[in-house]
Amino acid sequence: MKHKLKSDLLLFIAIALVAGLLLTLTAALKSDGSTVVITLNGTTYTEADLSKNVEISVDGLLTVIIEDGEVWVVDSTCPDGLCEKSGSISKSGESIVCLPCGVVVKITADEPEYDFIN
Amino acid sequence: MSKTKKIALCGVLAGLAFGLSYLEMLLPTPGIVGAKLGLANLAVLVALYLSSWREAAAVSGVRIVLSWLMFGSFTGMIYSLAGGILSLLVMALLKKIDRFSPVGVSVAGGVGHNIGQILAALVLLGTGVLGYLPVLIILGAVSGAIIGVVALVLINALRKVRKS
Repeated sequence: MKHKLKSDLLLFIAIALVAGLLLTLTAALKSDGSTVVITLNGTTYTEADLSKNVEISVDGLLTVIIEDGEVWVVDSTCPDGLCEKSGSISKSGESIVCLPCGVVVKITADEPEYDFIN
Repeated sequence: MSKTKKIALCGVLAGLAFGLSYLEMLLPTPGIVGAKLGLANLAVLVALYLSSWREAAAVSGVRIVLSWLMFGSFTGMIYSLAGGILSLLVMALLKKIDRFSPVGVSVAGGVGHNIGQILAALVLLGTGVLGYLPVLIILGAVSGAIIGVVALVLINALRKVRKS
């Protein structure tokens, strides 16, 4: 039993290390983004310039606000409101997801973007 | 274990899993999409250890379908299902190789659940969701460890009851 708990601990540490590695990798690749891409159920709904202040209503499901280089979600029709609680994003590679609405708001950079899958 | 006992155990554990799902809905969420404590996995772990992966799959499947019918949406069930299947697969495999206690198995199950959900989101919503992967892996491991410790105590207690 004791040696099993030891391998449990090793497993936990290994998982934490992998996750930490992914986290630093994604953080290192983040830069000031320039385009906001909004997708609805996997297809691109609209794109917007990060530097222009606008309010975009996504199919009446939720409203995306772009202001002073920051993006956040308000007036979501989803039951849990997690997309509103996730706050604002401003760097490329960052995203806000609303699972119930099927909406992903993502900031992408103009220069070729590398994330941890490519 | 006789077939009748297995069926009874499945019924009790499926009911428990369903109740725990409901309880978890009442708890406040940490504010991150897809992050949950995974209380229902307690019943699945107990089924896995007291019986086999088949009973664990039955308990998990019944819970997911019931939760969907009672208070979920269809897309919610797709995410649940993807998480549930990958989680169970990983847990059954790790239990089989017999190197880890229920705590380790539960940690891997928690991580597997969250990766399964990300995979479902990848298909339904596109690659934008990948940024959540590191955070969800860590949260899955932490919640899996918490649930695993409770499950370990529970499994040992239940084994004693069954012997007497």
